[in-house]
Amino acid sequence: MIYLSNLLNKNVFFERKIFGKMVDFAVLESSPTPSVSKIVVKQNGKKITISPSEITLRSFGAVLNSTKSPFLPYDERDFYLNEDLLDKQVIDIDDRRLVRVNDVVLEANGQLKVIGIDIGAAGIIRRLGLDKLIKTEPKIIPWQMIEAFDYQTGNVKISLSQNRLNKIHPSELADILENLGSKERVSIVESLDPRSAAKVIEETDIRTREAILEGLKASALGQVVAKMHVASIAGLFYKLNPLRIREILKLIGQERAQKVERVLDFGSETAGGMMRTTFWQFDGNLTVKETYNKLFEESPKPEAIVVTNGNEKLVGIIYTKDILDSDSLAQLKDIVAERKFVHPEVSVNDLITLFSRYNLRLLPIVDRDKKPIGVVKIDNILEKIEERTRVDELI
Amino acid sequence: MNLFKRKIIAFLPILAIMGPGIIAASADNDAGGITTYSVAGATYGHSLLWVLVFTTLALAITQEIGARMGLVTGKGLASLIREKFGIRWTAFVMGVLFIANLGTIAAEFAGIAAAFEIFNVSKYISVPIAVLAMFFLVTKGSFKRLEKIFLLFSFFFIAYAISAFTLKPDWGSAISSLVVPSLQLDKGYILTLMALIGTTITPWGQFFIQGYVVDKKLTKDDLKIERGDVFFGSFITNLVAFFIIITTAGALFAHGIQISDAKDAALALRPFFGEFATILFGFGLLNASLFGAAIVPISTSYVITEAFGMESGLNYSFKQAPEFYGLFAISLVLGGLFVILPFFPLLTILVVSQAINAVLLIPIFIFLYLLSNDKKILGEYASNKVMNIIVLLALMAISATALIFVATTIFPNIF
Repeated sequence: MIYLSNLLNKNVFFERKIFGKMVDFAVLESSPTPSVSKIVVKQNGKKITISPSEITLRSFGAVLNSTKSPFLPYDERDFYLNEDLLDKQVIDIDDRRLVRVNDVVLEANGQLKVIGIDIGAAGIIRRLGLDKLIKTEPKIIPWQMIEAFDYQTGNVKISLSQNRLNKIHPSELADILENLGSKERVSIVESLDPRSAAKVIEETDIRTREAILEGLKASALGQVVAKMHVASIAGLFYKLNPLRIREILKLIGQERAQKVERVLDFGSETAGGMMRTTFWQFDGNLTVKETYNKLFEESPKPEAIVVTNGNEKLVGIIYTKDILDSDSLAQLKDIVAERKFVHPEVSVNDLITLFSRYNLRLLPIVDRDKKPIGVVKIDNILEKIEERTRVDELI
Repeated sequence: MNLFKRKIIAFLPILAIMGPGIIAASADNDAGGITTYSVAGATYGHSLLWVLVFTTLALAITQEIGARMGLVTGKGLASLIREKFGIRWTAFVMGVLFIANLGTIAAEFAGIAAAFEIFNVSKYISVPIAVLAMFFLVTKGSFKRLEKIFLLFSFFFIAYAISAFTLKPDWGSAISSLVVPSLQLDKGYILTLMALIGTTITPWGQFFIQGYVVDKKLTKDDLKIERGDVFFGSFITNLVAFFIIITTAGALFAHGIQISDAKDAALALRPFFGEFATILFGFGLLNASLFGAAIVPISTSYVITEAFGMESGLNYSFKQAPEFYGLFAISLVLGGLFVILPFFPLLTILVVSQAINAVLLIPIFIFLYLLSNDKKILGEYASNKVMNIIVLLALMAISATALIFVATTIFPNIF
């Protein structure tokens, strides 16, 4: 990770002589991961632009590899990180937060790419050259969260919105988190609303997940773990610091803590260990119309509903989309789509086989009395398969 | 409903349309202002009146620039400096502003202390209570309402106008002093001159007017009205200054009575105008000080948090915007402390802080000049030649006065 402030005004050397100074970087700002397309170098008071492939970044500055390729004149219409982004306002539409771009975060991984902006005090301190004296943590907003640039009056406004945040897929954000330093990860997670934060954390790999949960502040941790699935918490059980685990169990409350313990009892490689304990359960005597009314208000709507009889024993499952096609007076118990179920002790391997053989999307898990205690979804199965292939690759 | 109440209510519509210009200008006549004018009149008679013409003009033009930049860009002065000149210059300007504002805030509390001393209340009681009261009134109460109340009570300044007329001063001398500049190369005179400039045209006032215009969401279409508002405000603020100088010059300078602050002035004026006038003067000073003590600290927080991109505004909670409330509290407490600590006499705080304001105005003027000429920011609304000449003349005058002052301080026998 490199900060723009560390690059600006650094000398560019050519054949051991000072060639000029790097003063700006042009990017294609609409790209989700914009890479630097031109480096602006000031030479004898004149600005010229050089392709980044001609320049190698070093700790003392930059080295120009050759002067063979032509230097282009400075083009005002390009989007420049220093001129058009640094110090500009960042406006969060939802909570009307008004902050500033204190620094720009880049990554030099072969290509020089912009990965985010630093809106924290750390950026100011760094640019004033006081970062050796005062230690603060950067507050980084990933580039993907930036919604729009407002070019009115030549100034750029940046909008960050929760909408946009919800639009970035949690797994994409998870990928970004995996590439960031631990402090930055935590600050991003803390800037999300708890529900999105929980989703994103669940999408990250186990090491990142561990690091985030270790690093979160107690207040944020409580809100995030409240939104996480019991199985995900259980999955981390033996990985985290025992003190942290005790803290988490306390934060999620007794009822959910017991669920975590139960999941742990089954072991992570069983249906019980990977099942989701929150699911939709309706009485089989409800009519389609009644069900429809109940679901009408709900958002997001469940994909499938677990149907039980009067004794709360499993009848089967029904897919929400099927409700639309059914007779409005029919009772749920008569129109269930699937009657399959498993016990929690069933191994993950067997589950994978079941899902693949019968093209299942959701499978209820029941206890000895045939009462539903959880469900396994196709998504969870895919995750398990992905985990396995990852392990195989590592070997 | 009694007559008094009815009269106040009749004023309310006027207050509703009162623009940023009038508020900024009225707040300029704060504790430091009244004291400086009183001292100027009592010590130098009419001979400093000509400065008022200069300050009216300079205040009008700089406030107009601030209002115009706010209207066109929708951004505060701190934002423009940050976006145009980067973080280092911003840090420098904010440092300057913070020092200047601390001086002004100290002056406000010194004014509160002085006003209460007229009524025999010790500053060790009045100042801490005022600090706490300001913190809670501004953060918990309605700032806009507070502002209107202070503005309403600014009409007490009319007491000075009435007093000035009852003294039957030499209007001929007053008018000629107003138009014919005269200069005494004496340290006290130069200090008072600088304080006169620094109390009228202030760094905080420049940030305040622009921020206020942005906050009110005024647009380019309001430019004409806003110009009128700003010019009228500049005129009124200096008219008040004029009457205070005439009053103190007529009553005190003419009889050789020396005063060292506004409280002295109020007390010294008792034989001429009676007990009631003293109460009015005291109340005017108190109101002006409270007005300043409410407005300057909060405006400091707004500007600095805006410049550095921190959560800023009274609609945030303490937890959401800790820097904003922290700065507000620190400015209030430090301002109050200067007054309570025994090392600084009230007069020194009141007048010297205004003179410091004038010196610190120099860098602010330079930024104002550069920004208001930037076509990329203002387009067709950039300053024209006449405005630029006035700003540059003001800048040179202030710089020259500051240089002379520094010279007289270092070499007391230079003249």
